[in-house]
Amino acid sequence: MKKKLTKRIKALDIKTNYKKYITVLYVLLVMVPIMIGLSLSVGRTDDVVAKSIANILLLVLFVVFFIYDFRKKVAEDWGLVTMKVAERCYDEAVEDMKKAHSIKMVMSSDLAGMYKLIEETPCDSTCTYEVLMMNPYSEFAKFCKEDVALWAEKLETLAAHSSKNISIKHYSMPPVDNFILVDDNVVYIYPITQKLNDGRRMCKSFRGKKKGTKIYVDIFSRLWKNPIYGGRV
Amino acid sequence: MKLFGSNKGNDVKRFEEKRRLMGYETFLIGYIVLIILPCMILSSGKYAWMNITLAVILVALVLWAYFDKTFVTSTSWGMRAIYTSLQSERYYMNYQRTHFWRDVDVLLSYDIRDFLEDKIRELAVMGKLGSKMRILLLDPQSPYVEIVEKASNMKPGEYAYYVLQIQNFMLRVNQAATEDSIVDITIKYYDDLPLDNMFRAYDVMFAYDNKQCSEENFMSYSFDGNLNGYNFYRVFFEEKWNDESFCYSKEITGDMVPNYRVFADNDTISYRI
Repeated sequence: MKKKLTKRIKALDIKTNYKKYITVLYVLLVMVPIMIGLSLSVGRTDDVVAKSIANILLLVLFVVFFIYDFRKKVAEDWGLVTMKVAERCYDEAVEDMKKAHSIKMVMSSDLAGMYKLIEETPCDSTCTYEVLMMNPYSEFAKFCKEDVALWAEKLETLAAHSSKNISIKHYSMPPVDNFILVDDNVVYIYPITQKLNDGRRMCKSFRGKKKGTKIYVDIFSRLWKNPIYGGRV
Repeated sequence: MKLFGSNKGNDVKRFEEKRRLMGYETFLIGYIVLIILPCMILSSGKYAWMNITLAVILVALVLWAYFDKTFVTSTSWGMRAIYTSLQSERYYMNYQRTHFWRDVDVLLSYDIRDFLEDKIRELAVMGKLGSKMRILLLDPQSPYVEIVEKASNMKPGEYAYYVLQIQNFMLRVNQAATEDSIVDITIKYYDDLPLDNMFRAYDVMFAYDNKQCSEENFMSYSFDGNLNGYNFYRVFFEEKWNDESFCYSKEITGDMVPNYRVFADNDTISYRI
């Protein structure tokens, strides 16, 4: 009997569908009895009061079902504000970079696009750029599909001649996903391999000093301090 | 009767981003037209303001929800959770769901040992009972293996050893399959920059970001079925799997694994079929 009951509870899959069950229970145990009560008290209750109570009940239902969503809670906790699949995915980052005081970047793929972003984005004169790029002489550079040495040289030239305050370090470890950290508050992530055949790729961004941004701030500072890979940091 | 779930006949050939607010919008329009408007029109007397206030609250809630980016991210993309360890992923993953393992796609390169350690038992049970599994792996003889081994903190040859174990797993499951079950496990290999791990179990998708230098070394996103996140990774997998110029079948043999004996002696992964 106990086994059957446990099996039955497992089959209900409460962990996944709890919201559905809460809503059903709410309708059956709260809404329906109150509505019946209201309809039985016709004549004794003001019509507008009755309608208002019904309205409130529906509003609660609406909030439970649509506004409160555990998935939304996860996104909020992590500060995950954007997930999109796009061919051009730097546009949003540009807007934040224009107003930034500190920009930290990791460039491992799409080197031309990332270089263009640094070169062309107007920024405040006090803004500092910290750019981490793969070491063109590292054992991993040969695996990149782009000419790492060429873009490293271009970047060095840009840093030397541009009015922008650009610091560059080269890391020697397996490729790290491209990301841009703006003021340690917003991070745009462009995974290297999560790309469809038509060129569109997955882009994500975390905003605010929440879990997501903190992870990338941590990754950047570890790499910046120790760009030579020596086992897991 | 279909043995494997069709996943609601989803088109997996092309990915299109969709806004999944239809249910929300329909409910809202119905609510305003059928409840709020009649209430406001018919309300009279000294309590009429109550319904007007409610209507204002509702509109404010709607606008707040509608323009809140996290709502679109979570609802349209179906992101269920983000995990920073295999243990937390295991805790939330619902292994009891009967159809969960019937249709499985695995894309594996980084942290192959940890992945097997965590999921091999369930894969073995479901493989034997009847499961359609497609496993896409980095060719152990590919020069890119160096990246994976370095990023996963493995010794040279260790990746190849675990690939061989996956192949052995497939053979063992095929042998042990019951008469009335259909065992369909296919392994393909590719020789390219290592793809981030991905794992689909019927209507749940787990996408792993390679976090080789973060504190936890692990980050995975789970997505609910038939929403943007799930669809993106599914199309991504299908494109790779069906691209004959990208992946191929191959037999892995013991002599392809350098230091085989050392890894075999230290292998702690065990499972029963």
